[in-house]
Amino acid sequence: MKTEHEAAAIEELRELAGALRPLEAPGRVEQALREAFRRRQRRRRRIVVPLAAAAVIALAVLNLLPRPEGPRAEGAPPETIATDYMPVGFGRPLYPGEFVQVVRISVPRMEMVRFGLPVFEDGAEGRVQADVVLGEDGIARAIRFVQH
Amino acid sequence: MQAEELSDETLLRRALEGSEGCFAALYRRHQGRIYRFALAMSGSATVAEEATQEVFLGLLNGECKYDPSRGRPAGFLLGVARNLVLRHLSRSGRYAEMPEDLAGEAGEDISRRETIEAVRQAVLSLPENYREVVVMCDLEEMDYAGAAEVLQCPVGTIRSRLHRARDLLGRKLAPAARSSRA
Repeated sequence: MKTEHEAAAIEELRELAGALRPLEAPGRVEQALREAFRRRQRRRRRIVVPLAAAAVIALAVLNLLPRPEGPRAEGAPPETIATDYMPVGFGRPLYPGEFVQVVRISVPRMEMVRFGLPVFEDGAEGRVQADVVLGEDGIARAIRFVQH
Repeated sequence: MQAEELSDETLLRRALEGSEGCFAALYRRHQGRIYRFALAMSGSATVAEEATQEVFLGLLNGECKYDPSRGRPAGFLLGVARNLVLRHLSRSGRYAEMPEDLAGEAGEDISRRETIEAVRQAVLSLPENYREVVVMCDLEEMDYAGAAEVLQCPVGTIRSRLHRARDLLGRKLAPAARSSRA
């Protein structure tokens, strides 16, 4: 149940609400906020890009590390034995965050000799698989030999 | 889909992810209500402008974080504005300056302008806990549930405060109404 005063107040407030309704924040507020938004984006990019680069480098390093071999289950595919990655050629060093590709190729077994790896005479004629790390320019930077 | 068609939740998420379009759409959707709320609570266009800006800056800087379990983004934003205005009022007392926008056109009925100004002053003279429910429910036409979400209190509290606030306001305005009738 509304009192007389309450009913009168509602009426008066309706009038004030009508007068206030068209009011909005001045355009300069949106402009200032948009500028603040862009500044924030620039700051975030400055933080995110080095972090992303660091993450890529970390991943590359992890990929280059020899993986520990666990016990082999019965019926599991044969273990892969791989050498460490070894540098190839005199290409420029990889940039931080550079996207690398690893491709598996087949090379003459004698190629292993160039990297100081032993090759027994009876197997010298065959081929061996190798993982080659390519930089963004397509030039090989590292190689490892793989045997199943 | 245009940013203007997206829900507040989606706009807020995308804005924080870096979409300026979504940030602008969220701002445009809510700035009017936030500005008017701060203006009616403080009586100052300067405070209203600053509060509106601070609400959205707080979002950007991560100073105020939206928690979906505590209500909708609209209530959250108005709640942040309310805290800013109350903090301002507690620091510097009340403003009673006449906002330029409310000054009216030169040819506008003077008695109407006087009435509106009298009501505005009467609203400003209400205790803050009454004033805020009047501003939300009567001036901004929010429902009781929406106001309860902003104030984080039961709907019954809104109802009873509004009842008392209107009654008090009516009593304050009664002499002015009698003299204008005379």
